[in-house]
Amino acid sequence: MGERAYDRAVRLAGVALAAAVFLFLIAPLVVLVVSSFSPTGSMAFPPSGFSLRWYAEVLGSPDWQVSFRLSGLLVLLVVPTTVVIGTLAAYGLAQGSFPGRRLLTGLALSPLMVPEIIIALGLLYYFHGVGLINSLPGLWLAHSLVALPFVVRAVMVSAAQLDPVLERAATSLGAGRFRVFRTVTLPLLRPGILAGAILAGVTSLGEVAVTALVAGANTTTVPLRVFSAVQYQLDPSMAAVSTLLMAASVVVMVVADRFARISEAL
Amino acid sequence: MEPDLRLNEPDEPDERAAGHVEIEGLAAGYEGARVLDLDRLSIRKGEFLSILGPSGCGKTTLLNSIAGFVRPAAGRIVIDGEDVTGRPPYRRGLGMVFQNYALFPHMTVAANVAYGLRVRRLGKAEQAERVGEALRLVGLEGYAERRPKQLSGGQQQRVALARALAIRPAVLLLDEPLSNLDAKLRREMRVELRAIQRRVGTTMVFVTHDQEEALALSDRIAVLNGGRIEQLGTPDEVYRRPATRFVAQFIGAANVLEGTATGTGGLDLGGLVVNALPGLPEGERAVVAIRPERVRLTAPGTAAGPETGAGVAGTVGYRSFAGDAWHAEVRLADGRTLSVRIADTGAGASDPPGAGTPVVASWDPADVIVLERGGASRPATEAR
Repeated sequence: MGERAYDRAVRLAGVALAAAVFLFLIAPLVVLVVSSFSPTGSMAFPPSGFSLRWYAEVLGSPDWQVSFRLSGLLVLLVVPTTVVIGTLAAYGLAQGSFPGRRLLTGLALSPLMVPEIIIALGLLYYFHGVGLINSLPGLWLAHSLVALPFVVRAVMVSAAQLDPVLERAATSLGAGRFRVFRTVTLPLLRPGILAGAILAGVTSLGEVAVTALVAGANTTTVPLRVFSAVQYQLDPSMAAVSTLLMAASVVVMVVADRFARISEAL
Repeated sequence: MEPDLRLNEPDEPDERAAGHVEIEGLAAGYEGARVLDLDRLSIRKGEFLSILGPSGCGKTTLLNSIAGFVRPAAGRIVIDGEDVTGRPPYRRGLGMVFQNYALFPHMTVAANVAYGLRVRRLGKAEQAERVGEALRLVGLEGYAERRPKQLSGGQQQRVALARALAIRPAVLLLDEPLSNLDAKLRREMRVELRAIQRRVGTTMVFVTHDQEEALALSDRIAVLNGGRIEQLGTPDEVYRRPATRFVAQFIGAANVLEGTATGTGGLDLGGLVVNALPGLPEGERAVVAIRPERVRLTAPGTAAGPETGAGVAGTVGYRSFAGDAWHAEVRLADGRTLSVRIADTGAGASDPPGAGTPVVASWDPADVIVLERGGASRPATEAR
């Protein structure tokens, strides 16, 4: 009997610990979302009522509209760029056998190992020289650079599980190399590609360190505007912006997950 | 009567005549190590040829060379009179079935079977017809819309077979296709595979390390060892008249004895004389093999008559019951062992004595296989 009580206590303690960790992770997001509906200008938590005035303010502001458009455009540019380059790189690195493969793998993932501020400084000097500071192509390149290793990493996980015998089977049925890649390899890499695309999108959407150095007055992305805004006025409009960004990420992930699971489960 | 499910239609005489493979002087290897060295192998139209050998004997390399996945260092592969040695695998028109099934997990069964037909740009109607035909052939008509994951191992391998046959290959290559199945299913699939082969008449080249499988399925068996063909023959030829020591031991685990003939029907193994051999002239060196199931065990003294031969004395090392038979090991005076297989009679009458009991092992001289005789040299691949 004593042993059973002990087992129960241990299990309860485990559940409590897990709940505490989960709460710790989600608390900042909950506070943010709740504050965004505050009717007053104070950030006091919990808020005293419910209103959508901060959403109206943010969405009505021309400055914010420009930033939203810029950030959205960057995601649309960065995701396809990094997905194409990252998928091909990951497939080659995971399945190929050539000298220097390990070195190249390390190189492809190196932006993950280097502090972002160092990459930012490098890009700052370089873009200054070629005149890409404060321009859309500059941000496109910078964000792609930061997001690419995430895609490579995610696709490599799928590519490492890819059974080369499947490609052989397709070849034996008469399919040439390109056809095999298109009809067998790519569909099997899809989970990794989707995960990589989401990571790339979220990275681009939230990037601050590199963006801060290579952007300028005409190219203020949403996170940059949040960053500068909170330094002057701390009101719930920032919470509203963050909630919108979060909602966008959640929608993308739910759709992608549904898409991936539909293709796999059927 | 079973309906005729032949994939080859009468209006396609070219494909009907397909399937003649000639391999000449084929050598292949990786980084200096030669894993394959074949003088000549000719595969007949419509036959079921097994390539049998232990792991590392080059059998998979041979199959992959025929398929085109391995580029041979030397030699020629001719299929239907056309040299395909330099042709890429997707242009050889061969079917292939793999050990782990290799079904495309993201496609339905029907789409898997149709894959090769889509590559060949067949019309929708013809595709559907051929997919149905192939699935009927393997008994999976109702499974067209399933995913491979929803099928058992045996069903998956049947889909793989249907997929390979749907393209009507000149030759179907099978790479240990039954190895991943459990014992019961493996026996069933063996029968089914043979039946399908008889029905469609496609030439099949079947790679296996399982001698039982090769014996049960094949028209002919090529026994491969160290990249060379040790023997090529029908199942009963390679079992009853093994050409080399390797074949005798690999197929049926024969006891191999090597020594000098005494001239009185004995073989001197170097101190120990074993009796009951077919007449060999005195002083001639010989290597002989005796199948475990041909050896009889009797108590010493109850002397088997001269017509059965005296055999050799020893003690039982161990015995184990295998259901239909007993396996025993007899330890001879010089430490050598003989393996013995005694069919179970059910009443326990034929049970071998327990470990440590002295026995006499004897056999009919007619059952002794002479592998090599004369001289001290031992050519590796000399047919009898």
